[in-house]
Amino acid sequence: MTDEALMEQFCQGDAAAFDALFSRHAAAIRGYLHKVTGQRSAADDLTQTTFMSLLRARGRFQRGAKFKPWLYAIATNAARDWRRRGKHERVSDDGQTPDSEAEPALLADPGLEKVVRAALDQLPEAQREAIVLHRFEGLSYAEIAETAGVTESAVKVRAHRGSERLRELLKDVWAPFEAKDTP
Amino acid sequence: MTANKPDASLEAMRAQLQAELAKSPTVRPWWVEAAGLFVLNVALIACTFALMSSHLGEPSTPMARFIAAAALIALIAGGTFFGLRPGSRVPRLVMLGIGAGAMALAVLSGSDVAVDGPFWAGTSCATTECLVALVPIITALLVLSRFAFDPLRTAVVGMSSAAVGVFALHLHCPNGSWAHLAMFHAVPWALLLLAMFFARRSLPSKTFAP
Repeated sequence: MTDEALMEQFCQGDAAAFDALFSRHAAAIRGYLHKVTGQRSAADDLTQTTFMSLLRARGRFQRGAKFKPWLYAIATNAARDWRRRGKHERVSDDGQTPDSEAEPALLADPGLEKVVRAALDQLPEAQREAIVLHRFEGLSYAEIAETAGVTESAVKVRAHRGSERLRELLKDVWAPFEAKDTP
Repeated sequence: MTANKPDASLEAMRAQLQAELAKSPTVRPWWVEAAGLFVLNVALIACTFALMSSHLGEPSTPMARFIAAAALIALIAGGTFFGLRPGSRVPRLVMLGIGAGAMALAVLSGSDVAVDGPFWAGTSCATTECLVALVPIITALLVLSRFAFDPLRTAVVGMSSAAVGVFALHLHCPNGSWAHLAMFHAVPWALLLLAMFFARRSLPSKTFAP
């Protein structure tokens, strides 16, 4: 059954449909939020916030709309709010989040992962979101455009500029990153 | 044990979400809040008219007054509806233009006939406008806090809510000079809009759904 059909059932009062949607997407959403926030504990909190928002605002899901971009839009908004309110400054004395090791790895090489995360953190928010959603979450540019409420070409420009910047930041450590995924 | 930790936290999350779902099993369509806000705005306009009915002003010619009033009503209704409607941003962008146009019309359609008295006596108009718009703005802020913060959505709903005070004044103020209309009708509207924008920006969101 598709996500949209489950959402339709959920809006008609079927709690099991919500459970199924949670099972399908919760881990992926938490992974996405960890990539954009860089903190495991924040990703946990924001995942709960995302699904709580989905639950409370399900009357706003439009029939015929795609579910995944809507869900990622909620998660992206929650992460933006978290950043705007300065909650991202909560780190331990050594600059690390206490439980960061528990998150599934972004990359196989932990050293490289650290460098890539640091590089992603240096990108402007919109460029980082476009790259993470496209490269790591597998959303199409059209779906990201739906998520961000902008045009598809604007998303492509963001992803392109973000890739260019990443290429500069990572040129010494990760050659394969250079050639891939230019819109 | 470490491998089970993420699943355990997701299961805890699932349990909390199910408890929340049990508390609110029914769905409220988005338009219920829009309709509620619009009805409140209309009721406030009606109350203001009832209170001010003995003092119907002549700020412009009847036709110009009617056109500006129609534009303001379109802003109040359309801003509430399209401002809260989920989906495409295009109708909200259109409403932004309609809002600016309606306000320009309300100022430019003045009869250019000023009433006797000092210019600053017009502060009573600004005060009335702000007082009338207070309830719609606070209510709109409560409704908007159930959405993720969106500058465009906030601007459109803010224009609409602040226009409730302008509409009430538009038909009752006897002063038709454009300077009075701009300074004591349009500027307070813009300031209310700004105040609402910053208030919404600083308020926490109850949900982050668009």
